[in-house]
Amino acid sequence: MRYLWILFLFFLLIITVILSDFIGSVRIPILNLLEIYGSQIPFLSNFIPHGYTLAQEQIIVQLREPEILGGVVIGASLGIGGAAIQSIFRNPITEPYIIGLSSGASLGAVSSIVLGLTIFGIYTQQITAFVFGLSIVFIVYFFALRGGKVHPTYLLLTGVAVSFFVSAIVALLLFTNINLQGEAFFWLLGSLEDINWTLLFPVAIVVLITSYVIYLQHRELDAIQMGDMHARAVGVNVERTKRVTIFMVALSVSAAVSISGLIGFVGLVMPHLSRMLLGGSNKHVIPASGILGAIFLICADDIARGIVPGVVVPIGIVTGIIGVPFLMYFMRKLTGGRYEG
Amino acid sequence: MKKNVKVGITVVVVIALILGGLAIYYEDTSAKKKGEIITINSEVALPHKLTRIVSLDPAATATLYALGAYGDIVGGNSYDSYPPNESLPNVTDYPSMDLEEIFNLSPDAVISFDNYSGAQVSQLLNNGIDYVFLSADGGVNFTTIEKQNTLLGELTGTTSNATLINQWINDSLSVLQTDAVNYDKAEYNGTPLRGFYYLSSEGGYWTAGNSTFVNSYFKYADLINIAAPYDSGFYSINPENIVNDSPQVLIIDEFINASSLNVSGSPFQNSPAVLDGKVYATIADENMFSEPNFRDIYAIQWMISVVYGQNPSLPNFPINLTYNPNPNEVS
Repeated sequence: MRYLWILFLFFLLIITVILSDFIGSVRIPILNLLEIYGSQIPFLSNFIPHGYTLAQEQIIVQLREPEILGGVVIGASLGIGGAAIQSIFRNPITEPYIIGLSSGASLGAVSSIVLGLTIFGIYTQQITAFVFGLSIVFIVYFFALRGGKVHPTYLLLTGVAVSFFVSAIVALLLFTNINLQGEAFFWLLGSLEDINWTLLFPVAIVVLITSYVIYLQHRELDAIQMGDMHARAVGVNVERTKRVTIFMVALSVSAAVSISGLIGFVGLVMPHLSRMLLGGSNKHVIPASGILGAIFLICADDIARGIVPGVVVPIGIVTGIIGVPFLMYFMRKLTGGRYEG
Repeated sequence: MKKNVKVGITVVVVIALILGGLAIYYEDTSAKKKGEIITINSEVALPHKLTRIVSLDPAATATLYALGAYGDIVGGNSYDSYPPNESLPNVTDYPSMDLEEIFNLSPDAVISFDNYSGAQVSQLLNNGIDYVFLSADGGVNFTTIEKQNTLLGELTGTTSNATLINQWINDSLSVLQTDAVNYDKAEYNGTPLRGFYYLSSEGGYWTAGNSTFVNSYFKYADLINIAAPYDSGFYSINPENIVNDSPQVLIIDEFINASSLNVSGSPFQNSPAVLDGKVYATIADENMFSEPNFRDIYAIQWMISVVYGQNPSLPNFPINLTYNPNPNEVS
């Protein structure tokens, strides 16, 4: 039954992806859209009529497809990262950003904006966000390491403290050049608009591999959810599992936010929605969180692009405004208010 | 499903993604013609003149109209104000450019004054669209404006008109400066008044500092811009500096509430400008203070006329335009 749910969610994701390809400021007829799809399939493209214009092909292939698939990759990364982090911390209000990822990535992105860094060309901002996000997680982890072990509460507090410290540096950087606050502000609120194939492919590969490794830990994460002592009693190498999982989440989410900016809510809420639908086992929660995160982010992006003509509302605003009532509704509807995380 | 089968599937998917990425990268870097980034410092060597232009820059839209190349513009922006009654499709998508609309218009080039994200610019270039960047920030003066006119003239095949406009700018600046000095001598014994341009009250006292085209307005109007010594570009000035330098003339943006200048705690409250009623709102066309182009001549003319009460007589604009470029004469 749970596999059917996951299959259904996957089917829903494909439908969402296809429907989102129709949404944009330029209307493209369905026949042209199907022709453009067909033209991208090797060998088949020779047999497909080319009734579409070059502009329509560019809009679909160069703009909408990377943006929508970017939504899939980033939503999945945040959802899966959230499920794994909540299991490690045994805390329902944690998310990937809690271990310093968001503040680190912000520091990287804002540094590149304010200091005008160009060492990696036009992708300097993305690369510095990725490197700083990952670095801050390592710093948090090593600060929290005591005698080769990491206690969840200690790691959590270290993450919060380091995040405050790094956020203060970000504020200081912005203070030194007030003219660039707007640019940094929009990065901090997140957007899928700037994602292109060049950015998406390396991130997709990182997210795919790390997500798979996280999924392989699902039994160990289930045991850790019951407590470290219980996990050790059933033969789980607790420290190794935490280390591997945190590193994978850091790698995946740093890569994701480096191309999208900070997108909140997905990593916090999608694991809960998955547990409401499929129960507490990470075998189902991890893939379901990924799929739900992807669906949610694509829908949020559609709304962000379409809600006000001529304006792309930052997606971080939409995920919060739409997401919270959505979660409240499901909490009441699906569990009758008895859900405990 | 067995573990090694899952690993196998993942390996296949990863290889497919890498190959797909390489294929797209190869296609991007090989066959297609790439666009170019063009600035006033570029050596322009385009094979043909631009005939399908998207203008994200209201200053450039006005200049193209004056050059006689307005018919080559296929997409405009939400900030365009001159020429009036524009019917071009709007391709700005705040805070970005609307790439879908731009691709749909199949332009040769996009003209912009803003620093759009590198990813968006690279999308234009990868799809063979040139990106013409005209700076509007610090460092722009009338020399820059003339270079921008020349560049747009070369790109649109209207070089002779660009030369005429540049000559008119130089002649007008000469008239304005001479007249302002004479008016100042007659009215204030030749001592330049201290002036302040109040651009915005959002989050501080925003003004135009050194190395801005607005700062050069002050020079040609024989006024001292009190904000120039403290910083360059458009910035938020410390109110203590306003109080200390006590401006005698205030030029305020039309969105500044003039009554707020006189309230307790305002750095302008006891300034001679407020006490003597020398506060002037840019109601004729506030875009003259935000768009670096040939129409800035009329901004200086307006400043001189409000400060000294006399209107310098400018040479006639050299090109016959349907819409009067001088907002001071538009009723």
